[in-house]
Amino acid sequence: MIYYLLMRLLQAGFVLIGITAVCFIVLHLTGDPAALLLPENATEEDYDNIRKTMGFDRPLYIQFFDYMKNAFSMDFGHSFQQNQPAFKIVMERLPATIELAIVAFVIALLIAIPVGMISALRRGSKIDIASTFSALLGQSMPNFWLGLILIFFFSLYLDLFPTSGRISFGMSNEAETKFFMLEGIFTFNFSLFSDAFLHALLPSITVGLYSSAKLTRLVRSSMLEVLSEDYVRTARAKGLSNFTVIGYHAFKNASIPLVTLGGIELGLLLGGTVVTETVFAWPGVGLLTVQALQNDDFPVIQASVFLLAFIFVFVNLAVDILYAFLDPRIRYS
Amino acid sequence: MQLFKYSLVLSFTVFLLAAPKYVAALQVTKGALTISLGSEVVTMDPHAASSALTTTIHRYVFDTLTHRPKGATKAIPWAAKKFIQVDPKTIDFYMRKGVQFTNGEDVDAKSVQFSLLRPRIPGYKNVQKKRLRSIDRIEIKSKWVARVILKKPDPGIINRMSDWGNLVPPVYYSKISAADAATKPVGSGPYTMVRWDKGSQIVFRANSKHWNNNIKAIKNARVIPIKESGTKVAALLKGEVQLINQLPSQHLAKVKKSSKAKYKIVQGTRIFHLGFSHQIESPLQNLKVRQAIAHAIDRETIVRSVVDGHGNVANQALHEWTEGHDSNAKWPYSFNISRAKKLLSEAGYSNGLVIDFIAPAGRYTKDKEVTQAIVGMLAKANVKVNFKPLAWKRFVQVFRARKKPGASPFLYYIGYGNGGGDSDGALGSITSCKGSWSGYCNPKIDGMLQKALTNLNMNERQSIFRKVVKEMTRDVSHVIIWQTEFIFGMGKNINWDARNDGRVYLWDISSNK
Repeated sequence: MIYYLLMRLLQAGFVLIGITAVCFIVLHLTGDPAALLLPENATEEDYDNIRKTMGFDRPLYIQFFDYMKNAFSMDFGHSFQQNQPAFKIVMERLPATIELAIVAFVIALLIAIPVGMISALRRGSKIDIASTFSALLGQSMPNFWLGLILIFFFSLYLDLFPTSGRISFGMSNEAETKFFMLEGIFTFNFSLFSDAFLHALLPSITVGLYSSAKLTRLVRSSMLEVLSEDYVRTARAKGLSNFTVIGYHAFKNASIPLVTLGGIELGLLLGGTVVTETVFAWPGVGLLTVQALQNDDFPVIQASVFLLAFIFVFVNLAVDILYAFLDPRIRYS
Repeated sequence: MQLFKYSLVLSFTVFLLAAPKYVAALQVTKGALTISLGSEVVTMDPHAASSALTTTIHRYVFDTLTHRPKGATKAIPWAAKKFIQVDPKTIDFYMRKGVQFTNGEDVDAKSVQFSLLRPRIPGYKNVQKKRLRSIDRIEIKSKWVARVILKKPDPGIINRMSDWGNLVPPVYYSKISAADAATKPVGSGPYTMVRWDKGSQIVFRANSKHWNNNIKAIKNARVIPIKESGTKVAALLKGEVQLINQLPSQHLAKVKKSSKAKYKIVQGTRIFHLGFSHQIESPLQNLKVRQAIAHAIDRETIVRSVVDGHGNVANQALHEWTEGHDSNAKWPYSFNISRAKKLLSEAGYSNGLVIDFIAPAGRYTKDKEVTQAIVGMLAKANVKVNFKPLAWKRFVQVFRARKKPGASPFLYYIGYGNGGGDSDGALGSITSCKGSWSGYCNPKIDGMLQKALTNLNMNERQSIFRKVVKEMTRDVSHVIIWQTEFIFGMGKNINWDARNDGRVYLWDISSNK
């Protein structure tokens, strides 16, 4: 197990190095960074000055080695636009993305698991048809449309939730960290938690519904497969309650593919959901990355790509480790 | 199943407990005016950015030497108590005695010298350098009088100083890093920045020491970035936001019915035109071809149907609040498809022609719809276009590549704002041979612009600009199409006289509450 972990960590490291390098190369293929930073009628002297200041006058391979060396210490340079360390800018947005991703993921699971299980247990029934149809609908609805509908109905018409943002003005002065919900829980500041939670609910539902659609179908098909297994029949024959048979014996084994897909979904959610972040003015990493792309802010793009790759790689590693606990048949050597 | 039931009950309980707290929190926002202007500023370093949004927000914290009131063509003294044009190349600025920056440094002649020359610091990334490039040097006549000496006469510089050259305390800005300059602003403006939660809000508080005691109606304010227009409108209707810009016209009926919000429409300064890559060898260099294209565009239909009447047909490139505007200017190329085809035929293109057409998508009001309409109109006149709607950055790249060898000729659609009332800058930018947004080159026009640039006589400048506009019309340098309106949404209790340049200054806003 330890050996496996070490190998996977090493692999993850190589993946990150590769992604970081590719990102650098691709960005520099888009053109002269100095030309992107200066207005058209900049003089040659302006170009020379900016190239010297930013280090663009050095040979590309030297720029590349310096960049990779600095990347090891999470130094991706300063944002062209904001003049702040790029990695710091990205990290400032990470708490918003993490909280949104976690709440959305929980919502997705809260929908997918019960609905998928019921659908499998009542195969062919109206409930099964309805849930399949809902899953299809969930995957077909555009995020931005759903988000706006939720805002207009639940925020505006019913006046139940805020329309946008992460937190109310008054509450933002109370928070000491950027993890508003977590801080609210651990400091027993229920006002802070509830305010942040209510702001997160609509965007999380928007994103979570899409994920839940995929997960529901997976839970359904996995459960159908598992319910026909011999050990489930044996468990019933032993007189165990329905809850124990389905909730423990069947679901535990059916959850292995759910863990795989769930891990991928969580990784995608943590990568930032640009459309939802735009609709709800949610200050996450996805929106920041797109803005950096639009402004050719290379350092921020590189920092974002690195961070997202890092998250994705390690979420998948965590998923692989979780397998071993869920399925004793899986042993890594 | 039981677990599911318990989860449902728990969730409902959490919600019931949480809802009153949310409502209570919302009450707190009522202590601050909340506005949303779409995007967010990227830096609070006043000399490091140039977008209209950033320039507007910076004015909250940083005073400028001059200021253009709504509807005025000329700027008035602002941070400077007065300014005197000593001679064509010399302007003295008399600063207000005793006024200080919020860190205690004086807003004196030294700070004027430092602030105006700061964009020239080698290696300092900024775009303001070119705006103030006519400045040769600045002398300290006395503690409170700064003498600005120009390389040559520059009549437009007083207007430009209402946007650029924001005053900053020299000692503070000499010592801090570029990173701190971007996030820890210190100025002498009507407001101070209290906090900046990136991506969420910037909070401002009125500066009790500001020299202008008349402009502190709003004590606390915050600017939040909401890019999606539907969300912005919802926030306005709910009362979470008290003022928004770029209110889409399809939401006007909803706002009108609302008990919490209202809207205001003003004539804007941005004028949209079709341009030609004159400097690349192509049929577009033929005057008759350009005239044909001009006749093919139904400008009235674009304004009436495509932008739903929220704009006006424009006859020239200069709006009403800038020098050189001629209210009697005519556009002689009426919509006439037969005439367009005839002109094309006379030019030798009786079978029509094919040309590229580039346009920004999603940058301007209804740009996609307007350019689609133009494509259809041109097609009727046998001008087939390879239409390329582009994201703004890509549009800029393609446009800039026009001077590279082997570049293909193209039509382009763009809007020029000229919110600062700088006619030299506007005309130079879109018509001169070296203009940033010019595909055109006419030595006659360049000569006229050079004359205006150094002429301090307002009447003569007016006359020159009008001649430039006439020559542009005669030569069809551009097809001038329409001038936008700005639509703002605001709370019912908000009093604000919307500006034609679209700028939202906090000190212009007051509330009935």
